[in-house]
Amino acid sequence: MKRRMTPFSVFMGLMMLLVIWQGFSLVLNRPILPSPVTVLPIFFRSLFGDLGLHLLASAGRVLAAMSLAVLTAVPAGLALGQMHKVDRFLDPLIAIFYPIPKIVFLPVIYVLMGITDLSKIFLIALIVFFQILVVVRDEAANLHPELILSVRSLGAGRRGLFRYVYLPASLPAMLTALRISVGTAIAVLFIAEQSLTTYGLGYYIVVETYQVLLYPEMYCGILGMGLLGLALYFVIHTIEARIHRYRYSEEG
Amino acid sequence: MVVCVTVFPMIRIRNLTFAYGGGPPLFEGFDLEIAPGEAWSVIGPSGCGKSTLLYLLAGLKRPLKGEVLIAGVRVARPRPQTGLVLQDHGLLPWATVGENAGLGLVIRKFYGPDGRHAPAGPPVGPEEGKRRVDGWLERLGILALKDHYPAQLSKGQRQRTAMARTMVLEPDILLMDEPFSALDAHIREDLRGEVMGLQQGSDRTLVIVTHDIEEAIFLGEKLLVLKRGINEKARVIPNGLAGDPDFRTRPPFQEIYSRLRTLLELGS
Repeated sequence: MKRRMTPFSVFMGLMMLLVIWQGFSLVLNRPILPSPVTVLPIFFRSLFGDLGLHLLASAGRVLAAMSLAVLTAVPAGLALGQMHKVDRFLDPLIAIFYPIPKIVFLPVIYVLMGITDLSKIFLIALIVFFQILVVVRDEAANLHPELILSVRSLGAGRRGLFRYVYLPASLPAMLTALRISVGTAIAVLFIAEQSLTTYGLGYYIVVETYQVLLYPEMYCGILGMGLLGLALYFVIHTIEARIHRYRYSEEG
Repeated sequence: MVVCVTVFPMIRIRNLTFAYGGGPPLFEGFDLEIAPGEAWSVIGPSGCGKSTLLYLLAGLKRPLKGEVLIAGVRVARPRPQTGLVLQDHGLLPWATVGENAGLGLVIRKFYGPDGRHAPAGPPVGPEEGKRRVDGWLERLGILALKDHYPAQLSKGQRQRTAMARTMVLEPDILLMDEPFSALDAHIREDLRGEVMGLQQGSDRTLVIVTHDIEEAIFLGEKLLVLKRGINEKARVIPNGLAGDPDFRTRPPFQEIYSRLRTLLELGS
């Protein structure tokens, strides 16, 4: 994220998107691509009705999944970063598991955990978990041993090191990993919500609108998904900017 | 009534044996006593265990056998009143000079005066803390850099920050592990003078590890010479030249220098 996002740049981006959308819909001139002029009024109307509920359901799932992932991956990553023997032992397993698209476990998770919200949340959490685990582990492992010794000599025990060294050291990388995994998390959410639920944007887009040819309403769902991704991205981006630490060079 | 005055050793090493994971011992049955307020230099070839000895004193490593006593108490973990300065400054890269210098106080506040992580006495208040941080930054000549980050500092300034961070906690023992060996010659001289200034007129005990003979002679009233292989008996040279800025031109310098060289050559 070298370039800064300003309200103006967001507004300009939005305007350009609408113009391109309008242009394509005029050129294509088929029901599958309705004009934003048709879609937007329906979107704002249904946002406070049915669509809003679907959006809330999706947002709830993705937030629960991300929280679950952070709460488990951060301690696990910090532990691995400190326990080099365990890390070396588990590293091949993590290296193999990390790039596997976790979505393929969807049926397995459904069978094992039942068709509940929990299984959808678990699947998304699984994806985000590995993203965060790896960066937090690496940040913790890369701290200079002399830094740890110095801070221990100031009186810090395990809790003090966690609070004043490991946490601030890994927080920026953790947030970056979280921000980058927003896209994947929502993509998986979309797939997981297409079946076996009655609320959620994935369900709304595929079952309630697409399958019954309500194209303008389908675009409302798509906009909702986009909005969810954008909002999460911005929230994380804002936290990152808040705690933005000085980008230091290792030696100088 | 008989008043019995015994000089309580500040640091007492008794029958110390230490080795790294299955390797040959660096120390075996090693004894040493350091009186309060004394300044000691520890010198020896690399791999002789001089840094290890410092870590044992700091409570960052544990003896295999024997014990390390500080002020009569067995050291099992870092002791709050012992200050440690390492060769690599070990500053938090994401914190400013001021924040780094105040880190020890923040950690003490975090734990409260539990006697393990922080001294048991009344805690240092925020005003007193700020006064101490600013006072030490001023004394070490880096107050103007208070809001800078470590990456923006020179190596010497980073080491000054690390010293301020330790001194803010007002330690009664200051342990230094080759604190100046990564610095340029003239900065090294400056900081040596700074350490000597801290030491003179204080009752703090100083143990400084170095591989530089002149540094050892300038800073240590007693010189502990370690050797590669197993250290069993402490080889100590008394040194009257410590703190004398013209130590190199004084008559005993050559004698102490050559005694030191002989012992070092025997042990390498």
